[in-house]
Amino acid sequence: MDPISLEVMWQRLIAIADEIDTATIQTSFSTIVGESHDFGCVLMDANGHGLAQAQWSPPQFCTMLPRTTRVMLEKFRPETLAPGDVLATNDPWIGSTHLPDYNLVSPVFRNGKIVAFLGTVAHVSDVGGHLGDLEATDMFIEGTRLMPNKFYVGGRVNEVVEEFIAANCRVPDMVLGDLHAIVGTHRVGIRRIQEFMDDYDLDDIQELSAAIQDKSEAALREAISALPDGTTHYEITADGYLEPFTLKASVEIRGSQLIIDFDGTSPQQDHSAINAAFNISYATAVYPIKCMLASAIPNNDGLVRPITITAPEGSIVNCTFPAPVKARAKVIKHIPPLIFGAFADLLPNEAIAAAGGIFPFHFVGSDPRFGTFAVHMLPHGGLGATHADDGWLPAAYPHNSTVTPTEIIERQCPAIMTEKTLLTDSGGAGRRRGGPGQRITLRCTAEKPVLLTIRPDLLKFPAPGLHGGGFGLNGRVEHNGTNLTRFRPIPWNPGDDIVLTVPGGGGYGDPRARERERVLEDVALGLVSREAAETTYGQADLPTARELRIQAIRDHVHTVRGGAER
Amino acid sequence: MSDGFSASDGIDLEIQWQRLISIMDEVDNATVKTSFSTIVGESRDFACILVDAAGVSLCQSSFSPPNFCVVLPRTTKILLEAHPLDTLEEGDVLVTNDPWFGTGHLPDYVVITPVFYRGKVVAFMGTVAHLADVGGHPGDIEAFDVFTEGVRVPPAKLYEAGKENRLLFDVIGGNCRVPNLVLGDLRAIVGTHQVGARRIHEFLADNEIDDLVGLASEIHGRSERLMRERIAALPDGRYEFGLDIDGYRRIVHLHATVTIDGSDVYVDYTGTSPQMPDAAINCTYNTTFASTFYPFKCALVPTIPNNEGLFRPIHVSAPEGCILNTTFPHPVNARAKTTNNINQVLFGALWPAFGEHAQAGAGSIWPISVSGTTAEHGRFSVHVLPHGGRGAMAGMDGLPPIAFPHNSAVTPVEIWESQCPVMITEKSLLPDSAGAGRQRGGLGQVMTFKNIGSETISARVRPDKIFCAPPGLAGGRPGKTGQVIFNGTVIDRFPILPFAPGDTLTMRMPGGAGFGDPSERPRDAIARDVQEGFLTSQAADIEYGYVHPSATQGDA
Repeated sequence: MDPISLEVMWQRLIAIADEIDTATIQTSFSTIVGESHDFGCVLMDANGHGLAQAQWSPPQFCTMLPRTTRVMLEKFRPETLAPGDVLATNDPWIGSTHLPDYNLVSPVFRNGKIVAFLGTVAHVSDVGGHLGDLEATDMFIEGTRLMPNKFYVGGRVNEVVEEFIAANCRVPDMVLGDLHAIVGTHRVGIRRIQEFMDDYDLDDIQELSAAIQDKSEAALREAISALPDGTTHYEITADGYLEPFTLKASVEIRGSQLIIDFDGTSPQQDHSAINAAFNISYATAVYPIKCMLASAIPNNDGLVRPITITAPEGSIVNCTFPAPVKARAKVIKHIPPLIFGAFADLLPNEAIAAAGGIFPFHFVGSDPRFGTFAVHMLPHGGLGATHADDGWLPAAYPHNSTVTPTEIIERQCPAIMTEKTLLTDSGGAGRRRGGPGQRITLRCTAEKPVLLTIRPDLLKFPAPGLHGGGFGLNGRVEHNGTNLTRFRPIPWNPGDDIVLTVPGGGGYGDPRARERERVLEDVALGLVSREAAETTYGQADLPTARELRIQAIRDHVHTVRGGAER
Repeated sequence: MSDGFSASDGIDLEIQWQRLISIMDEVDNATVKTSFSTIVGESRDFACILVDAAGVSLCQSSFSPPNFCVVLPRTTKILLEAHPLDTLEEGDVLVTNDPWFGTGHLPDYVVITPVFYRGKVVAFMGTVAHLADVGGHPGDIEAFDVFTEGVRVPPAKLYEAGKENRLLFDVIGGNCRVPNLVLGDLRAIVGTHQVGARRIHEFLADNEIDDLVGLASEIHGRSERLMRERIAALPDGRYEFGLDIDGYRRIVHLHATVTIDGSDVYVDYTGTSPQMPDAAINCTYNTTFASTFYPFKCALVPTIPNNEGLFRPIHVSAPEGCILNTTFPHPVNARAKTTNNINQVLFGALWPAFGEHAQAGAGSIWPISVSGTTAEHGRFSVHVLPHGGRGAMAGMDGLPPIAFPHNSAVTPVEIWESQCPVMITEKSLLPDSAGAGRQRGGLGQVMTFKNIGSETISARVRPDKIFCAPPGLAGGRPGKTGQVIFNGTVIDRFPILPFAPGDTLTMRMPGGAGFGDPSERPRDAIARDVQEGFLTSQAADIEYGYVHPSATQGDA
């Protein structure tokens, strides 16, 4: 297959996945799918290997879903499937590792034969279970598990499955609405694949599938081969919950192969829901490799072939059934900095220092002005620095999510955000500075207590830097001036304050090597204090605050004029 | 009246009726023998009921808890709405654990098997069983909705024409911690129904009848007539009683207005507290109905085997959204905290009419369990169901601690201590805990549990009547309230307790209430109580104005 045809056909598959993605947004019932975009769409070949994903899809979903599909196909053999069948599961050990993520997979038939599969994984609004988050002792507390089953049989909904899902969630209209919508988007996708195959007069897509995967694999192998053989080690200790945990990785380059082993990583925890089942640890470890070595190649299963990942069974990155798993993001968000850390010497230009992470935040209650409300907010800390750039201001990482605007929150629940500010000296020092953290203060204006759930991180162990870069600022949560260390749902009383200090990102390189003008700019912006500029960054003879302000205005005017002249 | 049953023949009726009951006893025995879990096999938390083709209950096995038997036919009718009679095939089995359709909380699965004879459904074998686990949180009383409490199986076919519904077995098994026990029990129950169906076939063949319609109508008709006669013998009128009970976090008021009108009884619970959004003590209507029926059955027709004919004259209403008719999806797991008190409201209202059958307030059940994993005991979860004292009746003092108003067994201390690292350091009757009266209440008891292991385990306790005492009747005094003491501190919230090595938990369980004016209690009965140590001399003086001779001598 010539490269031009390959590229055209490959892009068309991606466009089909994008259309499924768009259809999902347009037809979904819940905001978590429709607006927060917490779903992924993948097109797979007849063997269940990923070929193309929608461009907006979170990367981990797209690595996991083909693995989930292949497990479901062991129970429901492809030869027993019929057009209109849809397989479904939310089993954490088969799917994307916590119960709210439902996986739906539809076979695509052509001339009586399966030629492809379409898959969607979506975080649905509710799966029953407790209202808690971090504090759990097993998965059964966390909601209802649907073992791999046919959600549709020959184009008709399987009523037993539908009733079972409905009976076990608080918002059945929303959850079933989303699931039926997804089945509809698969029908759109199936039509598009038929048209595609008509246009190219194809009976199957085996050749195309092989070309996509083989070429991707070859490109990644070439990039790995360019690295010297050998093994590096890295470890990160993080807060965990109630007790800290350590992630350890050894990364071995052996010719064109890359072998990651999590040996030495802490065991799973019985009393907190931060355990990760292997699928997501695998997918999250693949992600930084892809970013560093094959960033321009669209995701597909060819890219995982050169990578072998192992983790000890019973460790916190390969937990065993039925460990509680709902808040596994507390662990897996430390996997990208772990892998980047291991590559810091090998690929100094590509590695990223650790980020300040996410503090998911959730109010539930009822109030005469707002009715019954459930509002989510996903504030982030600063990002880690790289060889080339300072860490970003607070933004979602390592996954994509949107930040609910203050105005929306204040309209939807009885809370006022009295403060939202970037924090001085919160980004880790370095030749490139970590992104600053932020402080958010909320005041309860409800008439009766609101239930508030928060899942902070980096309270004890801040985000580490790379190559001599400093740590970001630790996180902190204060309720009416008291520092919190346990995070069960908190009764938030009228007039109460909650102050979130969301951590800063780690720095990169020696702070004393930072250019003076960058330090002065940081001081002018209030991101670095005068004391830190002098002691940490080693700058003497700092201009006065007034001089810095004037300089800042001049720079601003210059930038604006420059823009206008262009 | 159909097919060969002679209504006039009381002997035939009795023989056939008893044979049906013995068929259900055989189903019951088979359940004990083939079940996998101790909760079904040993604690006997299940019931087997024969239901006629219209979904009306005919009889139950002799050991079955009464509440289950009242609820099961109601559940059957709902299952038949979802899966109508004419769509059923031989070998089908229907199931649900929905609290609003079934017995009011998720662990109770209702399993129904149609019995076919000559091509049509002649009856249903029904079993209600409390299964070992339904997933959900390990908390008990503290919950915000039913979704927290476990998995809910809507009315569905567990077997289709003799074949397991793989999907249902997958999801029921996949959502509980001990799938072997739960699925084992469900399969065992289905097996016992096949035994029952064979016996029904033999019964029909032996009696040369095609169905049970004639027999059912006779059983129901006669039972209803007797119940109506007994009700008609009570004085017509309106009887009202209100009772505060502990509830959880907040006191709950139960209020009953009972109208006896000829041969009908109308019980209305208007005035009862609203349902609780944050405590799992809400009752679905089914449980309220069953707990309401029970005192009438005990007081009026104690010797008639339970069947639906007896229910017909009893009409129960409760405002939707009150704690006795809770709406979906309120939490319900610990509904017994409320239902256990229903009989006391009714006796409070009806004692003038019920006479010697009325019983003063009892000390309630105090379930306690411990669980954890230790080197010595492995993974364990052990429970014991001790009670407070029983209430007095017009003819007798209250009994010492014994199960009421349901049946349950008390795990022996030796068994408990061999299964977990917790020693029971004290188990004794509590002097002065009984309510005074012409007939006094039964004594409460105190039990102390101590963690003698080396690891922290979990303890769960669900006390009752720590705020609101068991009420007396006819001038009898209330029993003493109970107390839970954790390492020397009295506690009043009951989420799961971390139970550390050396920790102690003491449960002082309430005494039963008295019946009749204490001043009418015979002096020799008081003297005996003092002598036995049931009553201290000070209390004898205060409660009864009785000065024990030994006390006087001591002073002298």
